[in-house]
Amino acid sequence: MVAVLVIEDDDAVRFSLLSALESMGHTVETAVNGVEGVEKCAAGTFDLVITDLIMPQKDGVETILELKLNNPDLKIVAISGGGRNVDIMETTYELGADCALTKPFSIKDLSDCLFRVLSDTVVR
Amino acid sequence: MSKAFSSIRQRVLFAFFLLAFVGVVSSLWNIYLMAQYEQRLTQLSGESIPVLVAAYEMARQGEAISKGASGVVLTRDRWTRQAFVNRINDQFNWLDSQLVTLAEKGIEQERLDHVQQNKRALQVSFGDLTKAVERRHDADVAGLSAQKPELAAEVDRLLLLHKYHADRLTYSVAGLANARKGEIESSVSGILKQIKVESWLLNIYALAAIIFAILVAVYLDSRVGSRVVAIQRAMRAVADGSAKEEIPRGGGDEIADMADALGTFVDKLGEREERLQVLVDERTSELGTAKNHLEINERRLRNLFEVASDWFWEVDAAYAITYMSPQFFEAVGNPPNVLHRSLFERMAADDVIVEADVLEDHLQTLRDRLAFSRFEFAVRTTDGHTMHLQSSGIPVFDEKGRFDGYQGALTDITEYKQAEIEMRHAQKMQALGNLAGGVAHSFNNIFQPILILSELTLNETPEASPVRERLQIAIDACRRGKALGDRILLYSRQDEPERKPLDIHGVVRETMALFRSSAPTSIRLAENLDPDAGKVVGDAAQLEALLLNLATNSMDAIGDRAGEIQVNLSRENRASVEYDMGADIVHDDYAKISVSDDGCGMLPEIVERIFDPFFTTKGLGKGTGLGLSMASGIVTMHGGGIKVTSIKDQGTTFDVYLPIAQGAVTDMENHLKIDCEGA
Repeated sequence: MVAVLVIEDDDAVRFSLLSALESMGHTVETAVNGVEGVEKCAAGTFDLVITDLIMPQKDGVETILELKLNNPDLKIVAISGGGRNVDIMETTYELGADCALTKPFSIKDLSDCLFRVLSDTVVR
Repeated sequence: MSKAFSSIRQRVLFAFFLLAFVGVVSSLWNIYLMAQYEQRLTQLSGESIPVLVAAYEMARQGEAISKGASGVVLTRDRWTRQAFVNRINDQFNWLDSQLVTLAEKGIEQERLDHVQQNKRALQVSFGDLTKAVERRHDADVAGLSAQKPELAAEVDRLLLLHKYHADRLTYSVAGLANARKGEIESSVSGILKQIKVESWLLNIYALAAIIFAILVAVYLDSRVGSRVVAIQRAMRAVADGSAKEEIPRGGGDEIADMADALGTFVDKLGEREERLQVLVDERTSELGTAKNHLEINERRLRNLFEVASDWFWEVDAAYAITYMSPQFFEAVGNPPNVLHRSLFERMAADDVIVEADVLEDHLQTLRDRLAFSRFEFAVRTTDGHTMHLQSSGIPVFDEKGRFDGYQGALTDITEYKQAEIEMRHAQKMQALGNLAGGVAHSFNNIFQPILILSELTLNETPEASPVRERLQIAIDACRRGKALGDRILLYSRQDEPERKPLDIHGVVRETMALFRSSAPTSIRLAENLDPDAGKVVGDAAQLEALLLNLATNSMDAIGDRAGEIQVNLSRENRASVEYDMGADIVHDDYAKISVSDDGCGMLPEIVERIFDPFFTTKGLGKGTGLGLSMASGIVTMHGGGIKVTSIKDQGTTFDVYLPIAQGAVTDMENHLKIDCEGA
């Protein structure tokens, strides 16, 4: 069981991710934007953060930079609807994201990604 | 000759003055001589002749006295005798008076005394005779006869004496007359002699005058006439500007002066002419230099005109085209009806492409003689290209302000237009990219919960439930939506294509096979593919999509009726490559893929916009309007180009040109790799 923070501004997406992760047996908390996400992350202890990239107030890139600054060991999965900022998906790896998923992804895509990221942790 | 007589006029005047002086002097001398002759003749007529007459009278009286004495002697009557005596005494008295008169006439006294003396002797003898007669008479009367012979002898002796004295008187008077006669004769002969001399002198004078006149004439002719003629000839020669004839100079007279003056005049004229000639030469040389400069300038201008990328044109006051840069004709392909044709007529010609109202505005500007700039229009070249031109012009007015035409420049803005079209296309592509990106992002966010929640629900749905199938359809729809979004993003991002050496023949053949399987049977697919077309470096998937897109367009153009799609593949040399959209033509060889149909075709205005994103001729819901814009994007990224040729109701041909990889393919790959890394 892993403690997961989902940062996503779209309610439906946030809800669907919450449902999927909970169905996988993880502990899930949610934040509606980068600012709230960084605050919640600082307040609690999370094994993994799933963050959207394109969000109001503080976008995903900033959020990832800040989270990594606060906790370099924190595992981060970046998700994005793609579009014109599709290049950012590659950039996120450089910024410190451990996995990137392009929406819409299936539960299997998500679980594969989590498995890869978390097994990495286990290896370490 | 002294200075005072240096002039001909003076000489001639002097000569005539001399002649006149001699004439006057001789006239005066004549007058004087005439007066002398007159005086002498007057003297002769007033003195000598009366003297001669008087002498003659006196001689006659003397004779009468002598005869009267005979009468006295012979007369016996006293009274009669006394009458004789009285008469004779009267005659003596007349003689006395004559002598007095003669004395007054200036007769020499000696001669007069002699006459006086003889007269007195005669008078005495007559008195004695008279007395003797009286005595004889008295004796007669007295009768004294004795005494009578004596007395008679006395009377006879005295009568003889008396006659003797009378003769003496006559002689003396004759002597007087003779003296006078000689004098008269000498006077008259002197005068005659003088007159003869005078006459000779007059003749000589007249002759001298004639000779003198002739000499003067000859002199004048030699000194004046011939020289004047010579001067005249010389002046005429000067006037004619023929060979210079020497003006006869020298002599110091006025002809010489005139000749000198004329000579000086001619010399000055010559000098002036020389000066003028020098001036003319200078001016000519200046003009020549100016002309040279003009020619240099003109050549410079012409060279500039000819090397300028802009073309220059001129029209005259009647708007006839009088000049057009030669490069224009090279570029446009020597269209007819340019030079000497009306600009209005030319602009209305079929090969000029410009909107009617824009053209009318422009023609009105021309009619109003206003300057204009950047008037844009296009011409169709003789080889079928469209050349975009930009014209600027200014009206030209002469020094009196009259309209004299236009001068202007033409700029070929075809490349600029092309670039503009391409830029507009690129901007549209970018807008499309942004839009597509945004749309895809939104769709992906929408698909995300549908997908995951459907999956979750599916997982939680019992195997037998018919809901599972419905959920599965929803999940599949999400996946198709994702695939579409991915495709849209792929085009909108205009990603660099994959670069792999591809056998273009294989790519085309396989794609057409794929297309054949989906095309309706009403469409015949003909292929003419060159298997040795060569290798193209590129992205097989993208090229496949491109060809499918073109073939689908052809299919749509044919529609439901029967038709044919012809696909050709060939290898083309660079020289024969041409396209509307694409990268610069820099490669040596290109693979040409043509996709032709005999479908509905397109109007030119549609052809122009065919590569614009979102432009579609297909009905609503039938096309995205992205196909051809993506096709041109793919071709451009492969370094090639695309060209469309379409005729309404006859069909459309798309020609795709892709550069053939040169040399060993491995080299190309390395090269591309370096390119990619460097990028």
